[in-house]
Amino acid sequence: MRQEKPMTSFKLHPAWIPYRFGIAMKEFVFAAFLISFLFRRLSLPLFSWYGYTLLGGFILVRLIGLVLQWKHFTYQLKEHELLIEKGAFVTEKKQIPYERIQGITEYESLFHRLSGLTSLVIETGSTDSDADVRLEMLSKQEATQIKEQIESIVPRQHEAEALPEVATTLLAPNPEQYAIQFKEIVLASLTSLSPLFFFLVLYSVYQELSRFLDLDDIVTSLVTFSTQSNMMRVTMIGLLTILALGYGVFRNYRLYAGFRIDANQQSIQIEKGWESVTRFSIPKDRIQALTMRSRFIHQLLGISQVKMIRSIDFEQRDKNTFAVLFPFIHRSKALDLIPTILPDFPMITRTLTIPRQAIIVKLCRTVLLWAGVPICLWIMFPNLRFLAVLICFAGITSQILSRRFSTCTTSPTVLHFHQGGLAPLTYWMRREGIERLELSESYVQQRLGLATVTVTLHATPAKEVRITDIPIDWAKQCQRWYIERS
Amino acid sequence: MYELKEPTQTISQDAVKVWRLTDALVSTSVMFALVGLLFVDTYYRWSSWIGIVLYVLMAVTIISALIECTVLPVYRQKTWRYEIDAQCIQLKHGAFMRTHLIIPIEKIYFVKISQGPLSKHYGLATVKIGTIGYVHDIPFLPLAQATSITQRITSLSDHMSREERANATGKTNDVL
Repeated sequence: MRQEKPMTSFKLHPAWIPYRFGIAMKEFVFAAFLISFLFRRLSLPLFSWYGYTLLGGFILVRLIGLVLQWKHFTYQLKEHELLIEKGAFVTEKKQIPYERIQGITEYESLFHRLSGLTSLVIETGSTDSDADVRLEMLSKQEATQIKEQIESIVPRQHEAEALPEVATTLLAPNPEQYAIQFKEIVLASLTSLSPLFFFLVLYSVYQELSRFLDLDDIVTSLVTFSTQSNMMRVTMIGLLTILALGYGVFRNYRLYAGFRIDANQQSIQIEKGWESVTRFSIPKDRIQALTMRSRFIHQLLGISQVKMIRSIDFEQRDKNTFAVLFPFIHRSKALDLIPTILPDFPMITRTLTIPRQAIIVKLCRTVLLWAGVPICLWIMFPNLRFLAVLICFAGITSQILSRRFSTCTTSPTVLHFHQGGLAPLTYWMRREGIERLELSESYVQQRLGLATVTVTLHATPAKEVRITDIPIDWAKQCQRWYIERS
Repeated sequence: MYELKEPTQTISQDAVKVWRLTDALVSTSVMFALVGLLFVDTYYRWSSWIGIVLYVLMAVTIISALIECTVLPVYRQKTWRYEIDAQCIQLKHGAFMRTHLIIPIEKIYFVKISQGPLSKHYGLATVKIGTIGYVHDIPFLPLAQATSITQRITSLSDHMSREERANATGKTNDVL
C-alpha cells in the first residue's frame, strides 16, 4: 500500500445551487401544470391558499435537497485518481483512476459566463449512464488545475506511440488550426435541408399551443386572409421562405458558431457554441477513422462534412454534433487541413479505381432494386408505370456512377476508400483502429477476379465499411497491409 | 518481417455428423409446429391464405432439410480452414461464397470454449473468440485441440500486451 497523503477535498462553487435550481425550474413548470390540472378537477382556484402552499412546498423541498446535495459533494485530486464523495443520506464514494479518463469536456452556458464559472464533464469511456462525472460550477482556476492534473498523467501512455521525429516537427507555434466563418455557415445552411426544419418547429409549436388555446380559428382566418389575392399569396409564401431560411441559418449558427480547432502533439481541442460554449479535447490516437460526406446541393458546391469515428462515443443525444470535425468545409480545404491537424491521416493521390467488369456484379447484386421492384409496380399498378421506369433508370445509373467514381488506396498508416455516386462518402481508416478485416468472394466475383473487403472499425457500436468489387490482387495486398509489419 | 500464410488447419470430421443431427432435430421440430398449426387451421377454419402459407413453409422446410442433411455439412466441413500465429487469427470458409477473416491477436478480448449436448457426445467443442464488437466461432474441434488453441491464444495475447507495456515503459524512460 502506498501511503495516503492527507489531501484537501474541494467543494463546488455555491453558485451550483442556483444553477441546478434553474435547471430544475423546468420540472417546476411541469409540477405547476400538474397541480393546476388537479385543481381544475377539484374545482378549486389555483391562486389561493392551497395552491401557494403546494407550490411553495415543492420549491422548498427542491431547494433543501439541492443544498444538501451541494454540501455533501466533494472531490479530491489524488496522486493517481480522482475521488468523488457525494450523498447526504446514502453516501457514495467514486474513484476514477486518471488513466481511465477518456476525455474532458468543458461547458459554459450563459449563466456560467455571467458568474465567471465553468463546468467539466469527465468521461470514463464506460457505457454506463452514470459513468460520466460532472463537476459543475467550478472556478476557471480550479478547472485548469483539474485538467492539468489529469492531462499530466494521461498522455504519458500515448507518448510511446507518437514517433519522436513527428513530435518535434509538429510543435506548431500557432496552435489554432481552423475556425469557422459566418459566411460558411450561411452558405451551407441555405443549400441544405435545414430550412425545412422550420416547418417541423412550426408544427410542434402549434401542437403544444393547441393543448391550451383554441388555435384553429386563428389559423383558418390567417389562411383565408393570405389567400385573398395572388399578391397576398406570393407575399405569404415569400415571407414563409425567408423565415424558413432564416431559421435554417440560426439553427446551424447555434450549433457551430465559434467553431474552432486547436491541435497540439497528442490531442485536438474543439471549441464551439454561441450562447453556451463547449470545449473538449480528444487524444489523436483515439480517432480511429474519419468520414467525409456531402449531401444534395452541397455536392455541387463542394461543401462537405468531416466526422470522426472514435473508440468511445459521447452520450447519444450529443453524438451527431460531437463527432463533427469540420461542419461545413470546402473539400479541397479539408484535404489540406486534415494532414496538418492529424498527421496519422495523410492524403494520398495515387488511387485505384474499380475495374470495368465490376458493373456486372453490382447490377446482379442490386437486381431486386432496379428490376424486381419496377416489374412489380408495372404489373400491379398500371397507372404508376412511369415510376417503374424511373426507379429502374435511377438504380442502374447509381450503380454505374458508383463503379466509375469509387476509389481506394492504402498508405503506411491509413486505408482510404471513397465511395462515389449520388451521395459520395469518403473513409480514412487508421490501421490500429481496424478490429478485423474480412475478404469475401462470391461465385460471380471469383469468375471476374474481384473481391469485397469488409473492414470493422474498433468503435462502440462496431462500424462496418464495405469496399465492394475491387480486384482480388489488391484485396490480398490490403490483407497484407493490415497484418504484416516490418 | 512477418508474412501472412494461407490457413491450413481443418475442423473435425465429426462436425458433419453434428451438423446433420442438429439440423434434423431443428427441421423435425419446425415440421411438428407447422403440422400443429395446420391442424388448428382446419379445425377453426381460419382464412384460406393461412393454409396456403403453411403448405409453402412446409415445402421450404423439407427442401432445406434435404439439402442441409446431405451435402451442406460436408461442404462446410471441407471448406473450413483456420490458422493461428503470433500476429493474427485467420478464419476461412466457403467455396461459392468464400470469406476470409483476419483478427489481430491484440484486438482479442476473450477466448472461451462452448460445448452443446450433441458436440459433447462426439467429444467436440467450439472455440469462441470475442473482439469488442463480435464473437467469432471456430466450430467443432476435438476438445483437446480446442483447449490447446484457447491456451495458445491466451498466452499469445498475454505476451503481446506484456511486450507492448515493456515497449511503452522503455520508451517513456527514454523520453523522460
